[in-house]
Amino acid sequence: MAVRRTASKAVRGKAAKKAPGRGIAITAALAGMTMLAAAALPLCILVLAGLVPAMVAALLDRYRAKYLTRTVGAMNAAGLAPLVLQLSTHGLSMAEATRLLSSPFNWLMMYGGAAVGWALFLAMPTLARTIVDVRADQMQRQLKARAEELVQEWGEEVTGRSAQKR
Amino acid sequence: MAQAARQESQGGEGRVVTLAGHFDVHVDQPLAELWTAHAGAYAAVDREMPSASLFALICDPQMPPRLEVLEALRGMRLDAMLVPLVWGIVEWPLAARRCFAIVYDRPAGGAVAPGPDRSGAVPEDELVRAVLPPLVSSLGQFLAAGATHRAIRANNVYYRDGARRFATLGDCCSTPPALTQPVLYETVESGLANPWGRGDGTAADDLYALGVAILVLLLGRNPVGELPDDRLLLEKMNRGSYAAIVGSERLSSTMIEPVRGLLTDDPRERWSIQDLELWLHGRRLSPKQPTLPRRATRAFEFNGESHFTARALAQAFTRKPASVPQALKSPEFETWLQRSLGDAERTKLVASALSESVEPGVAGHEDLLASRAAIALDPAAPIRYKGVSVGVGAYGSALAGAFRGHLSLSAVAEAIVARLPVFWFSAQPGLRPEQVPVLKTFERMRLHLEDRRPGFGAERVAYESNPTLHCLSPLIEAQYVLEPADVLRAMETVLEQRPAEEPQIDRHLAGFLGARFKLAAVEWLDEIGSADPGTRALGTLKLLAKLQAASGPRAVRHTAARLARQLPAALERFRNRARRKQLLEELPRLAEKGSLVDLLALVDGAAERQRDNLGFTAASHEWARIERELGHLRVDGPRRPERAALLGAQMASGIAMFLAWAMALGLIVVVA
Repeated sequence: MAVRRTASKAVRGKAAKKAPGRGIAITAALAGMTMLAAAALPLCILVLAGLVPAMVAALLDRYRAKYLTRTVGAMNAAGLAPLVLQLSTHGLSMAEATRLLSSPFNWLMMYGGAAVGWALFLAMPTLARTIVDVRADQMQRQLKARAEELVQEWGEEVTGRSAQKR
Repeated sequence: MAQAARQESQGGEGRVVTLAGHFDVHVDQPLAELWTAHAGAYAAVDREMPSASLFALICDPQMPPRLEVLEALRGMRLDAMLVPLVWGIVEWPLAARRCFAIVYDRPAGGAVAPGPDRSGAVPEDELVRAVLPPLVSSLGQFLAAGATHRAIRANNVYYRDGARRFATLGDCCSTPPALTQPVLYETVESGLANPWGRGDGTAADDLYALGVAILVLLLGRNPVGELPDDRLLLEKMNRGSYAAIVGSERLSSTMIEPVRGLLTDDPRERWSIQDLELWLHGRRLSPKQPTLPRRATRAFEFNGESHFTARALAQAFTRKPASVPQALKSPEFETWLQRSLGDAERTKLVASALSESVEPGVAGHEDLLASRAAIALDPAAPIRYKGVSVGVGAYGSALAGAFRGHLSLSAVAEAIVARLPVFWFSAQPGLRPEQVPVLKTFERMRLHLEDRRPGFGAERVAYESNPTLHCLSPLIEAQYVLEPADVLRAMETVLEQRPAEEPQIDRHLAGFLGARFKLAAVEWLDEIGSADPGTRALGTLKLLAKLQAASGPRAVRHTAARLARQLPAALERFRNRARRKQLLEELPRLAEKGSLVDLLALVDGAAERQRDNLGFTAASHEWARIERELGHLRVDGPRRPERAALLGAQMASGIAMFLAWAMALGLIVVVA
């Protein structure tokens, strides 16, 4: 919900429109998962279970450029990557997949990564706001200082507000 | 020919003022016998020819001298006229100012008229044998050259030699024409004019004066000395000049002839110089009977007085202008003019005067109507308006007199603006070709008078029509400046003596420069009249710098320093504050050099001004851009959280991608 509140109306408006390749991407993802399930079911189960936060983020993401999905997905994938590596080194067996999924630490690693991504996404706008405000204030100060310099150098006439001498 | 003069002190010989390098005027040696009403006479010596007997006339600064007559006299070197050897402006210690001086050959025989006051009878034989022949001969040549003397009177005739054998006419150049002539010596027309308004006149005026001079020299006194001028004029108008002046005096039959011939009131009937020469050579003419003015069969009553002649009525009109409209509208006037006077020409002119006059009720209506009616009734008389009577050729001189308080300036100027001279010309029997340029001159004068800007107005007209009128600006009046080239020198001298004085171009100096300094641009004169002190100071600097560039002097430190004090206001034109400050700091340094040209280049340099203008334009554009950007920032304020949210999302996405990439890279390294 926080994501919805911070996203601008315009951005959200844009997000509301369906992206043209979205259906294709979903179809491609489903096809890929099906092929993955057929080829390596344990890996498919691990990935599907581990990437739930990313999928939730994708569902909630209202940005056209899918910033939330990218942020949460990237961190979620980073948490999942060691487990996928571990599973692949043990021959992609169902027993190993079951073992990995039964470890709370592994869940913490996968979902913790996603949480870090989510936290990053929630914290950054505040930081960005600070940066934007500072930059605007700095520009305003510079412009006013330059304006003052111009008045000092050329007099009030330069503003066009006082009667011209000639 | 304004020649530089210098004053010297010579121990033991009294004060000496030197003119043209070698003519010494002895300040402490006045010559009472050569003193005139408006010029003091002093002994003078030519150092290059010490044996020559000379004297100098120091002219009254109020009187513009007659330079063109001086030139003519020096060129002609006539036997019976004082020959001016040199003239110019001298620093005159007795007046503590600069004055115009003329050095003449000194008439060694003294005044022709005996007696301490140059009055006394001259025997007829001496007059005919020694006095008149050279006078008539020289006067003939002088008049033939187109000049007029206008100062012929009994007390202005001298003997050139110690033996008192050759007479000579005295000075006629130290005052405007006929200004010093008593009414006795002037024709009725000239006598009606104010002394400042008589003008150069004609040869006939000089011959009339010669006739009176002969009579006075013969009698040894003024035969009508007890009559006041007004009464004498009236007598001349009513009885004719000869009868009015000679009266019951007894003249020899020999002398009656020239006196009567010269005192004829109609200039066409008056003796010419040739008539006089013939008479001197023994040819006797039958005396002419003077033609008296046309008299009406009955009098016209105006303001309680009876008038029989148009001339007398015209004179009465100008004295009581308030009653003129009523008199002109009365049926009695029309009847008198048409039937009693029977002058059809006068009747037409009066009708013209009435038809072209201004509407009743307008200020000055009566004066204008009276003046026009007077011109119509007496076209030969001078123009009389609001008590000022000026001959049509003497408006320049009249303006000069008016500026010195001898006449009403407004009356003289208003007469020109009201086109009275034009009406005067239209009333003359026929417009001669030589009068056309005069008419154009009056039109030009009128345009100048109606223009109230500095450099125009009555001052401009006065200087244009009086080439010998020196600049009357209070600042430099005492310096007797006749030429623009002398203005800066005079100003520098005055400012050096008076530390509190500020250089300024008042209406007189502006008019003087407008008339005689052709390089002066009208815009500069306009700037002088500006209410803005900066523009005024800059206009003053431009004019004075142009004067300095044209004729020097190269350094006028006092003028430059005082002008520099006025110029900070002019620097306000520079909008760059830093440049303005820099120029302000440079002003005193440049003023110290005394170059007004450099000073002008500093405060009004074209390149500098252009740079300033371009800089200002660029700064104005920059200011506008800053305003726009600040406006955008203000407008952008409410939208900033949305932009920050987007930026935050972008940043979070970027950081996450980087971290993921780094971890993947780390994993690969560990596995490998």
